[in-house]
Amino acid sequence: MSSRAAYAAAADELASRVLRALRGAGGAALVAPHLDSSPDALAALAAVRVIGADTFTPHILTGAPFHAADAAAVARAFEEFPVPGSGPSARPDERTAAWRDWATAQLLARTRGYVGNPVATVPPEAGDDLTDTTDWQRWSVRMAQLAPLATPCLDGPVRDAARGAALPLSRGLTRSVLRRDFPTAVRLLRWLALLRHDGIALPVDPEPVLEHVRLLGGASPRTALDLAVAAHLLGDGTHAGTTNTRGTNARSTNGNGTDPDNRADSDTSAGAGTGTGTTPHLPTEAQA
Amino acid sequence: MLAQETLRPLANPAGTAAIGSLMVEPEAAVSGAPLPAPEAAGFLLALLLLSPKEPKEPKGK
Repeated sequence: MSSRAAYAAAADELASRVLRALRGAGGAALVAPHLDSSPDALAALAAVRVIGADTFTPHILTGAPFHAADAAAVARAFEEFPVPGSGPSARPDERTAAWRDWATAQLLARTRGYVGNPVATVPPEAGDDLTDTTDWQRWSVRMAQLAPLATPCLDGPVRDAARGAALPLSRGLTRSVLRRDFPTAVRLLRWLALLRHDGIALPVDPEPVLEHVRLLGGASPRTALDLAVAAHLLGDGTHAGTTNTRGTNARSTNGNGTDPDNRADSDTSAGAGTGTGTTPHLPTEAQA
Repeated sequence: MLAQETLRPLANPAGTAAIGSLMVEPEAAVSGAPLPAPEAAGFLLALLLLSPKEPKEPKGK
């Protein structure tokens, strides 16, 4: 098996873990057990780099605790696979990867309880390629590649660019659905769901697209994770699998994402009580 | 006292490139209409060819 195939398999495995956590399956550590249980340590670390900021989505969207061991594991992935250069001479693909690394580093740096951040949190150079939507086909594909940044509480130039580009994003979504490129469609749907979450009017109704893509293209764990995040942002927790837990837990957040009681509570209550998917949580605390 | 030494895996440039390619996946090629089971297409065609003809209306009634 090539290294890419091994890394892809490990990334799917980690995405499945994140998806289970997003569905409220326990509140145990995510990343550290992934590293411990994997027969290929290098592939497991590479998977952490690939999934990146999405590792934090259960914590951000449902208030599931993010453990200090998880934060240390994310940092170790950056130690093993250093961030490549992303200067002005870097290729667009390298800058895209740099933005994803920046997002992961941002969320890691905000994790209280973890000391030391080996990743530079300075955002990559924002060029015209982020804001110029003239070639909306190519631009939307790039935004799809930047889908892990489509998460609440992660502001920056990429999100600003998306806020002013509902129409190009909708065009890209429609195009990818027509091309039956469902992974790209789901990633663009995340951006539109985030815009809807922010109260921005959309040219297309994302819910029917979500249902269409869920029926036809949500087989891969990473695509399923993108789909679950989009469903959460649209306020539909059913696709994230939280139907059974909705309403069974009286605890909820206070709406500003800083409720310490929720994460200081038991693991199960932190993960299961916020299934509506409308309240983001800032990643501010790591539990030992 | 014995000290346990932890072996650390070594990343190589090929691995770093593989991570980059997984992080920045290009869009997929245009695919055709979905078939639930493409391998069954031949079987369905055989059934269509071997199926009996439509019954004709009996004459003289």
